[in-house]
Amino acid sequence: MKFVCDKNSLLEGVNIAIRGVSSRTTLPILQGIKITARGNVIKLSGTDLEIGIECQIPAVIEEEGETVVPARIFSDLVKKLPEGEVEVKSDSQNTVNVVSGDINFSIAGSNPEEFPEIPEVSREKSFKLPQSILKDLIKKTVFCVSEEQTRPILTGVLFEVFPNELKAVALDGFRMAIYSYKSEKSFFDEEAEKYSLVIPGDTLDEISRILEDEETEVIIYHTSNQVLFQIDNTKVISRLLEGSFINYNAVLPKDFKTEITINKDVFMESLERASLIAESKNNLVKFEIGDSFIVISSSSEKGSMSEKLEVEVKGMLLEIAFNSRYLLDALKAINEEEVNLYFINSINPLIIKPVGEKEYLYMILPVKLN
Amino acid sequence: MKRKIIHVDMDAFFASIEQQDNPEYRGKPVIVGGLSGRGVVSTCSYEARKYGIHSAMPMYMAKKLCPQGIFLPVRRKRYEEVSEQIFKILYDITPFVEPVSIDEAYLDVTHVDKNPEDIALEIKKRVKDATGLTVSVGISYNKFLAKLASDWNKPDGLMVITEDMVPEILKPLPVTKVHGIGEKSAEKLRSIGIETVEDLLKLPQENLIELFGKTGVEIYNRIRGIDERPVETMREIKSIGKEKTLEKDTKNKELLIQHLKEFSEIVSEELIKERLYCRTVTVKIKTADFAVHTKSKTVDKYIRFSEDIYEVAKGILEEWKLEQYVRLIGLSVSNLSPVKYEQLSFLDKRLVKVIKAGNLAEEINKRIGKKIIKKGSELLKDNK
Repeated sequence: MKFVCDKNSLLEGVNIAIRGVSSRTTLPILQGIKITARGNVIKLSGTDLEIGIECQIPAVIEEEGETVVPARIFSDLVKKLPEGEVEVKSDSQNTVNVVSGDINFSIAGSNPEEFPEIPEVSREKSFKLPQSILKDLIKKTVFCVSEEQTRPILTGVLFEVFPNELKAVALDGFRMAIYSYKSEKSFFDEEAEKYSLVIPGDTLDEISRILEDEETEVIIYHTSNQVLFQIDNTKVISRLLEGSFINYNAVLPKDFKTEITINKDVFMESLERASLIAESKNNLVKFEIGDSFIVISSSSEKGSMSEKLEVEVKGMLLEIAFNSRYLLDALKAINEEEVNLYFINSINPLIIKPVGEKEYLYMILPVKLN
Repeated sequence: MKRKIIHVDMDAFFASIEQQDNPEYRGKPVIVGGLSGRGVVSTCSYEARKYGIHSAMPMYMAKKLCPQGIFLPVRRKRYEEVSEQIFKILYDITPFVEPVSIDEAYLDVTHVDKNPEDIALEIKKRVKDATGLTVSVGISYNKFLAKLASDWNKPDGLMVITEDMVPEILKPLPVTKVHGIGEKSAEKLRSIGIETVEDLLKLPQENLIELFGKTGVEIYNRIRGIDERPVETMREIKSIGKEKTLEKDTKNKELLIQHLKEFSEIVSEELIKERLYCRTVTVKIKTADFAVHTKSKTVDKYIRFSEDIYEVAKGILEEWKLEQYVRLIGLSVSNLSPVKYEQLSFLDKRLVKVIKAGNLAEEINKRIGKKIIKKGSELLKDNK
């Protein structure tokens, strides 16, 4: 195999493919990136068997072929090369030479035949949406997935896709994120009513790092157990989580007794102050909601703190307590300046919604105090 | 705030009780323990120690060392009886007592409004009066040093180790005096030429970790006078309170309320420290004729902040018709419950049921305008 390409495009490709490479693996070959040179592109692939990432970059192929390079060192050395053209070649022993001007690296690669095949995903069913939307959706939901493996389905985000609406839901029982995006243009090219898929949170974390804040579209192909994200020249392939998701609509409360409008940053800063004193184990912060204020307080062996914020309150007075981390996680994901908080009583969920056009919300369960 | 820790250690407890109960044994070597062939010495009197007898020594060896000694079996029941008398005295001083064994305890007297040396003298006197026994007391700012202090001049000792005495006072001690270093560890240390705490102080922390693992850090800190272990009360705390005999008898409510405010802060601090909440607040008044009156109020919610406690206490006092001059005022909280938080989850079916039931009850009560549906626990409390 032998090809010449631009250093920066090679680096970009390697940095994407490396996202699929597992850092801890028992299979040494999985610590590598497979390079395939064919036609006028090279394909860089990384996989940890859960997720596979392939990225194509343009190159002048002098000799078609393939090899596997150790991911970490290859990425590091490409980064350290000067700008301009890079020549990469490998011999039958998989010794890989990287040449740039007078610089000549020679590293030991591995046999590409040992590299696991990244499966093909049928392109029958698909939907598409702008990169920026998918990126926003992931940012606003993925942190709510369950960290516990006891119910694997909850470690993923549910995508419910209708022709003109996409809903994404993540929940771990203590909290839930619901994101809705409506589009006049159908998400589907084909005839379909609704698709439901649960994508692993880890996959979405990786994808979000690859996505750009651009309007260009991501095409998401899916089968019953696999999903393929086509993002420009990059393909991300992942398994889907199987099983039935929680009926999230059933747990969503409808009637509220107390409503507050509050500046997001003011609220966050106060919560952060309260968290300093809150017991580190459960980050317990208490709210006392009066007729035109909310008192945020915490106490632990470290001491105690309280802060009174003037806010707009509609409805009943209330005392309620939360794990501040859940609140802060949600607020951090919100871009809007103001949020509405909807309460029922001290043992029912709180709903946080941004004030504005955007349609997403967080539901957070309180901490019950004795 | 530096803590005030007292370590109380009875002197030759079992043997002393025997000498107390049997005056003819006094001044004689008394050895208590298993008398059968393989028995060991539990405790021996100080007279017996002169013969080289010590606890855990095989009984036959003790008999060989001191054939004229008075050898007695263990009367555990009797010792427990005496122990109970002594612990009663300790709990009278503070609820923060950690019983270590039948004859040994730690007290945290940080919040007792008395000089710890006076407390120690009081303990010694009251124990002597009640049981005729002597006790050695050590005072310091942590458990390790308090224990070291009680051991300083046994029997009937009283020793205070203050911050400025550390580490000088520890330096000449053999390493076995350090809590956490047993005979085996001492052996290890001896092999690298370390015999005293002074030698030990020269060892960097890494070496101690190498030698003792995790406890290495504790040992490193301990010999530098750092020991954060709390006094762990085994007994459930029933109430926390604070009271004061006034300098001058008074009928001035404003002045009394001022005291309640101060007490609320102290009590609140204790509650937070003990991770407890309370529901009942009691105000105690001793009038000039020494009659004691108390009035209590129980609130719906568990509280722990000084403002909340103060509000309730103030309310009680304000309604009180003071007919006599007040000599002593006190405040206590009871009906205590540990801090228990429950992060609710909508996936927890049990919790969902509780929430649904709670919502339904609330709805019904509101419609009827009366709390006719209550929790079982509330009903139980109502019936008490």
